[in-house]
Amino acid sequence: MSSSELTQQSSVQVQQVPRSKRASKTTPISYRIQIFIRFVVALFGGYALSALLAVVISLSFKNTPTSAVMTATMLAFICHVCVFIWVFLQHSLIKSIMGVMIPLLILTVIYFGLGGTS
Amino acid sequence: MRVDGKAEGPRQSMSWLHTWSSLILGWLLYAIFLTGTLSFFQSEMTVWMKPELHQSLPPQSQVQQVQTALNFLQHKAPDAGAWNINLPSSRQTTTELNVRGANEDPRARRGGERITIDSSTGEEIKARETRGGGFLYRFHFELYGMPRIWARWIVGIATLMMFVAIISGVITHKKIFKDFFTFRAGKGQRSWLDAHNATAVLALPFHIMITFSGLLLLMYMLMPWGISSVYPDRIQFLQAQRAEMLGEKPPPHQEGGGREGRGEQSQNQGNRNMVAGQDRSQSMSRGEGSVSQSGQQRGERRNGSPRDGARERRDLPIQTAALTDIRPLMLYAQKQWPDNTVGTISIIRPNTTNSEIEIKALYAESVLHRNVVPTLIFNGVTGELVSDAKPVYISVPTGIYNAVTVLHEGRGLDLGLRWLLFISGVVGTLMVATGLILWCVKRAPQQEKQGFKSFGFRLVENLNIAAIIGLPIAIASYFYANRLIPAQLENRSDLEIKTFFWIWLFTLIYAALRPVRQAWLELLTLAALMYLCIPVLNALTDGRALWSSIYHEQWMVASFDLVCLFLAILFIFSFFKLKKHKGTVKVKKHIQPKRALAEAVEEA
Repeated sequence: MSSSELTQQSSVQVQQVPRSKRASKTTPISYRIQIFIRFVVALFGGYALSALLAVVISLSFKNTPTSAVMTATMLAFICHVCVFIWVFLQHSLIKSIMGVMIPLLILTVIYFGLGGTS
Repeated sequence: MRVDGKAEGPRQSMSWLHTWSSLILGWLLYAIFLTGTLSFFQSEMTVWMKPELHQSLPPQSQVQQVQTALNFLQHKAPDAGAWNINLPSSRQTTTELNVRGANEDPRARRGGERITIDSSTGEEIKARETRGGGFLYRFHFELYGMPRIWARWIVGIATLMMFVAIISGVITHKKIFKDFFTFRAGKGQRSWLDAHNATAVLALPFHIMITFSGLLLLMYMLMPWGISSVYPDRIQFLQAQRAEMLGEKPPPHQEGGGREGRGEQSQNQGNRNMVAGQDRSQSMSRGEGSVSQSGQQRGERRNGSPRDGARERRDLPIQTAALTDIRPLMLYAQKQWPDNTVGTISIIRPNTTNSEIEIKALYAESVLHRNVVPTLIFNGVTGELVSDAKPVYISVPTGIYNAVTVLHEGRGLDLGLRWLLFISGVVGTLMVATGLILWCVKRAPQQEKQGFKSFGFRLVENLNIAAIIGLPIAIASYFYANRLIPAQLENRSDLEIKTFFWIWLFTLIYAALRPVRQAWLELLTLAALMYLCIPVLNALTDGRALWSSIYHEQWMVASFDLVCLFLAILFIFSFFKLKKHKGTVKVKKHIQPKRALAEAVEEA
């Protein structure tokens, strides 16, 4: 199910519900699922992305290992926060997921390119 | 993140993210923030909770303090492997001694027999058993009663959420600078928002620093991947880092089972960055002299296997020899460090021909020098200077790491900076509190319109009360328990901690049973009374009373009492503010004192 379908569905639901006191409180389940997916992507996808980023940076600057490792770890935390912001900034669910998945793929390729082992 | 899926601007979605990422772990964050802020004065709390230590009024001259300690040690343990004398300071009333046995590693981080003596009379003091401020400090990153790894992950995630909340909060904020100077008192929701903004923006650099460094302090657990991709373990990384600092060649990577045990040990010691070093005996045989940075030496010793120490001792025949007069050494050290004072004196193998006297300063040179304090090493018999401080190189990333973590932990910082950090912490705590209350205030009209309170709303309301006012009450009860439980009772420190949690639970149940407004008012009264009576309790239960501590300039004890009185005033103020407020909207707590505090900080 694409995100546009999801959002359409939810808007349809809201329109169908009569504007009574109680009904205005009910939240469509699709909306909740969408938020949950985003949360999972932000927390776990973000963690994977930032961990991989840390590894790639550490491996890229082998001449100054201590500084590289320290910088990489610090950037990793900042990266995770940025992923969180990104995922919830995007209107489209697919776009927000892709924004995490594509860099993750690219970094994986670089990681193996740098001679990392799985 | 609108429910109806309509398009919204980035500011709206960030506002949504700010609200919910904060709320989800908001109460935990409040607890972490509050106990963490108090931990800046951990030693002060511990001393207050050991009233036996209040009797010690150190003499002015440090030479005299050292002499008193040495007299005691010569009498008590002349044949010890090492003595460690921790002199009284603005954060310590007594002289703390550590005596190592002849077979013990003299520079190990832990071990040895700890003795507390009265700094002026040299009399041994046996204080009551208590966790003191250490409990609140541990609670702020390891919580309580759960495996510490879990607890640290939970705190780590909460910290990440805090970071997300800060960044999204800044994005949400259109007029961040202008809003800072805007405060509309007595305007309901608007006032809460203003208070939240003011506290957030006022100490924004502090909030970012404390959150980021909180993550960095846990980085070996939360984000070990960068390190482990280059170094086989953390110890190797720390060694390489130290080698870089001293301009030495990095040690070759070593892999082997022998290091695992130590890795484990350092994990147990918390996420302190232990500077692990090369073997000390090695560096001495190379004729480079010993490196004179305290943290390193501790690390070296810890990492050097006991065998090396034994070998060292065998090589040099040990004969008794009188210790040199400490006075000229102390005067030399004081002359070397005009802006610093002597913090610790270690005497390795005292009363022997190869004794060594190590004088360490109290404060680090700057926040960049983590675990590194100026140190002088003298020959213990002749009194000549063996090793002076070497310049160290600190790379930019390490410098950033050092600066933020030193500020977070308040290590080796003087009192002025410590107070600044403490006040920033208080402002941060108020920021979390106002944020949590704002959530309710914002939703109150809707709840009213709907005619009943939904479960979620009621839950947040109750948890707000139990956290925001319940936790200060629980902490006060911890102090009361400390003084009221008999000093000789067994397991009394456990009882103190149990009291803390039972009272905290009590406030939660109380909040659930009473109407919201009443619960706030009554618990505020209770908190105010408890904090108001703490100086009285102190005077009645063997502590040094406020007038006496001020008269004798024992500021550690006096400032504890004064801060409690200040808190009591804050709670009384909030009480009347809330009582006066008859608005239909909802609970109002202290806006005014918050503002007053913010202004006070601004002026300072």
